[in-house]
Amino acid sequence: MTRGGRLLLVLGGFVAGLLAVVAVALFLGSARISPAAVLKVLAGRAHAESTESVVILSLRLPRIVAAAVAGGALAVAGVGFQGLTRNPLAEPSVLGVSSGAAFGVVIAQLWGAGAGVTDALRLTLFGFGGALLAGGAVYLIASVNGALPIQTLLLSGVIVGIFFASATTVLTSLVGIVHWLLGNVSAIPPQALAVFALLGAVGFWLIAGQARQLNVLALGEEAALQLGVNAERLKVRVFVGSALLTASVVAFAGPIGFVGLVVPHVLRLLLGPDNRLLVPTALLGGGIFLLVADTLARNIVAPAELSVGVITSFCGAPVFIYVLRTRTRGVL
Amino acid sequence: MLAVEAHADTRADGVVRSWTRQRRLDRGVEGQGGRQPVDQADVGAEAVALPTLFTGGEEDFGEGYEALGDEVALERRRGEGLEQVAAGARLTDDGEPGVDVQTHVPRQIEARQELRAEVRPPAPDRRVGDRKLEEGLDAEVGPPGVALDRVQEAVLPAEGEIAVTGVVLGAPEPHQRLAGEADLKPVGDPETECGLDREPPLRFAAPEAGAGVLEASLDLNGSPPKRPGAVRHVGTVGVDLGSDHRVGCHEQPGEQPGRGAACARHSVRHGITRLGPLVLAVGALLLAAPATPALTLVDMLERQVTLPAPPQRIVSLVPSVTELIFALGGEGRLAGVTDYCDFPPVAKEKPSVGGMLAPSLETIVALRSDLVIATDSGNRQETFAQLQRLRIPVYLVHASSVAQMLEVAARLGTLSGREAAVARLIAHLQQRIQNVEKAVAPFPRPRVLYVLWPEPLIVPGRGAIVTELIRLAGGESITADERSDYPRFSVEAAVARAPEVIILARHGTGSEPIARDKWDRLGSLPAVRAGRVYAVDGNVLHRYGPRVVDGLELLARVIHPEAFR
Repeated sequence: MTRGGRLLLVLGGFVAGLLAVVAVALFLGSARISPAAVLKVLAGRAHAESTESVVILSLRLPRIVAAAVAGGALAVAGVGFQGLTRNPLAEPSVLGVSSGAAFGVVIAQLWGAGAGVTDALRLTLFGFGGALLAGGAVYLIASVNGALPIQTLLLSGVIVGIFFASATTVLTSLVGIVHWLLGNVSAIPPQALAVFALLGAVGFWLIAGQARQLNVLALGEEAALQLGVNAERLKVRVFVGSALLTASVVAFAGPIGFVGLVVPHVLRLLLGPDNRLLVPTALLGGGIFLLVADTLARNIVAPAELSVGVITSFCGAPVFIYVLRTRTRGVL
Repeated sequence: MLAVEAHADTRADGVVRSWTRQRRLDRGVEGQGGRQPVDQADVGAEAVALPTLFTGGEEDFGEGYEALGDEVALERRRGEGLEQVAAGARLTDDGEPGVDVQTHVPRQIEARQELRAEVRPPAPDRRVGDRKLEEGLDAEVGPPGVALDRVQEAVLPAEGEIAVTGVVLGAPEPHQRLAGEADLKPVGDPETECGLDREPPLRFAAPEAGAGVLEASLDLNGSPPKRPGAVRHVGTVGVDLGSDHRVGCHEQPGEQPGRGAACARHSVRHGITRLGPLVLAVGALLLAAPATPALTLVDMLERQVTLPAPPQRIVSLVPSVTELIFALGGEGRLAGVTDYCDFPPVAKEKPSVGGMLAPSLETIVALRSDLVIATDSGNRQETFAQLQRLRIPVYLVHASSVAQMLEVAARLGTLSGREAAVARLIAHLQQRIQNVEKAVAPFPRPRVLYVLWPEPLIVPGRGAIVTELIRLAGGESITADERSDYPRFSVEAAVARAPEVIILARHGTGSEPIARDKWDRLGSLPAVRAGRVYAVDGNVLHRYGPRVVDGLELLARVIHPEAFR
């Protein structure tokens, strides 16, 4: 099979999987709406003001889309950071980038935390600033003679993450904001959802366009240079893209951990390390993973809810440990 | 003609209940059905009662109080120290003057039963001092607009026995305190050593002195509503027999038995005095406390708390406890509060010991605190252990319902030396709760969604006090069956339950989002269609303090505006 054919087949499979999960998620929920009623709403034959319509179209569907976008964005950001650092454990929350973005978002909330498009853009912009700050700090702390040894990278990521988390706590205590930054997917209004998707698309484009160069970078910077890859420009682009993806997820859903770790790792096991395949499948696979996690969070203790971050971390932490014990030996 | 009923009792479950009723018989309210409380509008102000507290042996109370004396003696036989009996007076003009005395012993003393005694003293047509009883019943005093615009008195002295008195004060604002100090001319008989003390004497008997102190004090002040914070001294009537007199003292043969009671009779009978524009009546507070080396209390988590003496420098680690102590007028013994104790506003002037989770132990020590009052839900176990290592006793309270809040109030009254204010406060709060219940009773219960936090959606569950308040306010919380107290809740489940009223809690000064637009977007919800999405101040609904009754009234007006037109 040609490479293009394989890509199409894999992507087709993932799209089908995502659609299947979306369909299932549409039918599951604490409102206990019968499948027939759901179909009626989806077919547009239900009264627009009916409870079923409101639940399906105003609550479930936007939340499903938000979960899929957030999951995809986090997974792609994970692939980006992993390619950038040549480290399979790199991930927005492990690197402290999520904490930095959360700090930026909290600063932006000083001017209010509405649900409008401008509010969403302001939150993301500040979150982006925080993510760049945290990511830059981690890079500066961890780099030794231009390389990023795994121990120092993880350690500085943890430290920077703790620092920004503490800064967020100090800030919220000082000004009295007690906004929840636990990480949870919610029904975002349509305009804001469009902004979210657009920002995600920009971040995805920044990383996907560099997938081939990321493959080369995996051989080492010197090799990349010899093969005609501008490593500096590549790194900046991927870093900006990953930070943007992280920041937009934090702004719209709060910091959700481990999606960027679990999904790329499972995909690498399934499909191999080729970033050209990994980046688009991470988008779809991340969407599937977070959507499944959020559907579980919505339904396990219904009508109460769990935090989706609890479920992703619950799955993610064991994977993290597994990767730490197996993949890091000899590879880096 | 005004009839006054004042009751105070501590029930078997330790909850103090008291109430006051006024009837204006000449306005035909009687015709509405017996001894119902009169509408507020009818008497011009809400009523609070000063219950009469007294104790003693049977001899001192005479035959008319035999039943009461018996019960008191019964408690004595149990060998428990502090005795305290709450009683109320009911005055009626239906030709059968009666005093309905209910006697109780607070739970921490030991007894848990409710005791009752009926007393029928002689006819009421008698003169008190130089004034006829009826005159006092309807005295309307003070310029309009003053907080204490009406002081009613009802005195029913019985020949040769201790008088039972009740006082009704008008307090237009629920949180205005009826406490304070003022000078007063002694009205005591110079022949005796007792009588009124010039110093406002409202003070707990010091148990270690082995003294029974007889005190009868009524401290009043009122803040004119137009000048909040300004204190208007109204007056104090007090009787202090001094520490060397025992009331009904059987344990001290050297003392003349019954002398204290005699003084009480005397003072009460002469305790009716015109003070400026106001007429006051005396409530009598008698405490007979045998000598005890230390005070051992049982707190609300059934822990034993031993104090060397009644606490004088209390640190409150709970905002609602601070509110209750202020409401009881016990802030004189409040040495420290937390950063979150922001009500009443003067509470912020008290020294702060920091937050609820990690208060500064150094500050608590530096404040020379002799008692820390904390709660098991909101403070940390580690803090209690650390305080105990520092030999600072910790008294724990627990409240997850209105009834428990009232019990906390009763206990705080004892701890802060404000027993007399407890029944008054509780009567007042319960009257208001009853008024709300009555007002909303005729209407069907709408489905209410209460939003504690919008994103993620947090709602009050089964154990939350808000759920109980919604119920009392005539609504039906759609999340009342949730197992945890404050669960994260599914928005779609909330929508599917079609709330007819949505209430969004504001936290603090409004910097937090209440996310109204989130609900307004769901235009098909009955509540949104009917324009019934409201924002309320969460501080009066989430704290287990006296203001939950404010919160209840707020909820009732939001849920049933038709009941308050």
